[in-house]
Amino acid sequence: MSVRKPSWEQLARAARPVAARAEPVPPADWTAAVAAKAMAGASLGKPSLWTVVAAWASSPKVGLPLLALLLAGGMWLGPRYLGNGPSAEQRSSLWAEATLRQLKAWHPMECEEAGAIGRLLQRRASELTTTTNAAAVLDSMRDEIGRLLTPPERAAFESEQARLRARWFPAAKGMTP
Amino acid sequence: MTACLERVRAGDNAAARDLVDALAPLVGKIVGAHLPWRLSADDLRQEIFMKVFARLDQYAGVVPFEHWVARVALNTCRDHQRGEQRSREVRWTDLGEQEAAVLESIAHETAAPDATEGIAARELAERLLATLSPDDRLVVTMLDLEQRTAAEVRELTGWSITGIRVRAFRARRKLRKQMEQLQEGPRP
Repeated sequence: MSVRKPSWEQLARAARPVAARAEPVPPADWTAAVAAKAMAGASLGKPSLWTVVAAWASSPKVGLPLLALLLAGGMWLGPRYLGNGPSAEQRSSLWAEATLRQLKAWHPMECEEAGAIGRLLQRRASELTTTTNAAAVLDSMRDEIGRLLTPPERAAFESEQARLRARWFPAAKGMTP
Repeated sequence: MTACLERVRAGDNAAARDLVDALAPLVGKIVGAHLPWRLSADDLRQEIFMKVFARLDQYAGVVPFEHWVARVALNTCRDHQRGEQRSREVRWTDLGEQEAAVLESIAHETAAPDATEGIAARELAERLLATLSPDDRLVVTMLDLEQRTAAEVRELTGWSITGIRVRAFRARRKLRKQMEQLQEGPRP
């Protein structure tokens, strides 16, 4: 005689005769009542509007163009109702950061504390860190920075500034720093 | 069955009664095997028939009608099981006297269990199955208690054979763990 601990398999085996037992057949009046109730609630022969729409929309000829239309609509409506990504303040900061990265790439020494750009940045640092519109501060510093650059650098700087401005504050969307 | 369905679709009440009569054993068996706790079998059977009739226009005739009805019935049971609060584990102190006794007796593997033991074993199995997710519970009930094959389960649920086997393997592992915890836990 085994004295092992019972396993799930043994329990399932013992429970099977009951599991296999069929439910008693329901009485005839129950059957009739359920049939009548079910017939009253059934939409026989006339599929519901949703069934028709679902069948129509799930066909490849309709479903795929419909999906494309929904996606296009979502892409058009999304920015209008869910916002335009970063706020004006965040875009300003991103513009300022990009400008400083550019200046540091050109004149790493000048951008250090002792350098001309570094000193200029330090002078305006409090403005740059406390403003909600870093781009406007940078805009006002452009002439000062420009004077520190050679003519070709100045042209490249202006061009890069125009690109950054168009990126973060596109005129087409009526955005201004 | 096809002729009967056509008559039901045409609004024939007598055909509807015949259909309910013909399907009652099948629906009854599924309800009996997958009846969620605290739900009357009659209510559930009635709900299943209401759904079958309401969705009759969705039956495309791709699978046998009985399989389609069985799937509606299983899904209805599963929906109710999803709404149930699942018990996390079964403890020795939760067991009734007969459930505890049946656990002791099946360990000794003596004679086949009598009717009372069978019912107690079924109740204990139900308790353990209630710790599983509705899908795991469905697969293990069909494979281990109803002794259906994986192919039959696939026909009734629409799941893949591999998915069914993997689910059964994991579910049985959980049940074994539950059985171990139950026997190792404190006893009164």
